[in-house]
Amino acid sequence: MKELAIITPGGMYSQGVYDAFKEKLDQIFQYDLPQVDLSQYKAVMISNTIDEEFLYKHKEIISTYLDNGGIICSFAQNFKLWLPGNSLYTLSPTPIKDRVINVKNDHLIFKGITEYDLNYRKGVKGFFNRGYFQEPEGAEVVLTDSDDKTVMYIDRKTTKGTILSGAGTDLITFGFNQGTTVDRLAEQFLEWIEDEVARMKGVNA
Amino acid sequence: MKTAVIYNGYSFNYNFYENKNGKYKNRFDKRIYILDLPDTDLMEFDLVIVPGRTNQQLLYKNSEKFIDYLEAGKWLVSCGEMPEQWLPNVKWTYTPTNFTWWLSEDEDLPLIPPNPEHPLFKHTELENAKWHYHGFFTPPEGATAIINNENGGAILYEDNVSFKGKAIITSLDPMYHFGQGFMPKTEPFLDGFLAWIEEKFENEMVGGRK
Repeated sequence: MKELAIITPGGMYSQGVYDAFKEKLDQIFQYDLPQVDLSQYKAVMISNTIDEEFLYKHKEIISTYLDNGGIICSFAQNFKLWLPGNSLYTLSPTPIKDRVINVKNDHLIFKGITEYDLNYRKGVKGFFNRGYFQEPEGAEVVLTDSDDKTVMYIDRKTTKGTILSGAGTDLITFGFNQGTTVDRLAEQFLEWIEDEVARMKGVNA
Repeated sequence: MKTAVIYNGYSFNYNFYENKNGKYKNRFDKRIYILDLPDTDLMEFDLVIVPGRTNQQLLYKNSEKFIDYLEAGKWLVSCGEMPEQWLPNVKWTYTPTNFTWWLSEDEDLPLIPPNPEHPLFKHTELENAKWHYHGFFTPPEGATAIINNENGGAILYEDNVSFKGKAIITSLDPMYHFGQGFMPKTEPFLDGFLAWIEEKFENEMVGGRK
């Protein structure tokens, strides 16, 4: 049993990347969620591709885990209200070629990653993100787009736990083996989780 | 033509119906949620569409259901890759995805129609099929290849030989891209592809021989 888990749809393109993190990351097949005790994990990620009808049906599993001080990191493009505080994904009307994703306050997760490497993969834009959220009140905004819309936020107010929610921004897979500054994304994200766990322990001490 | 589309509850499945002011919202008769598939009677439909990235394990578990459906003379469209062989005679091979070819004006994504006069191309031009693909199929003997890659692997083919009905198999995934809101070509491709299937059904099943 690992300290981290990711809920996945099983058998998608990203499967191989998640497999590469198997030393640190348990994979939970989405339809097994009701049978899994999430409280054993410090943090639970939710992959970009996920059955939101099913998550919505079992949303109390997510909210209970959070209210017990858990950390949820979601990369979903939410269209159902299963994640506390989330106000659903909006596809940006700005053409991808004109839209830029920016990091706020040099956040640890994205430290040292250039704007170009975050926005382009082999010269093509749009892999990382194509939409945004309205962040919950009091949330820390981590990423914005060039229209100043919120692409990723950290919400420590809505529940007793921590929610990191990115509008489709998969922090594990996006930087995997790209050969650019974005390669460090997953490791820095995992470091941020460790920091967040320590911070929450401090809060609760 | 009564059509059902498999629905996985993924955001791009949901947004397929919502994007472009709900263009496809009422285009099909039913969305079959993947977990409801075992309890759904497919026989009430003429055509079942399986969008790209549909959960392969669950499709595999319902393999017999699809075979029974096709053996009843019904039609099925499968989009995207098929790493789990949930239909017999479908041979899938992954290839690296060339998603950057269009960055250079001189580059092309080679797609070759064995029959350039195929009726599909009355409804959509070959250029509309050129975004990228993740692999190819090796059709069974007697099947009709409609679009091949440069090495002869099928990107789109029609299988009239494996079942009493018809399986139209493509490695293209237009519904995924329309649902994600990028890759504009996928829309005219999908419109033409659906129009071709509907015309074909009208010719072969309604006014035609069956």
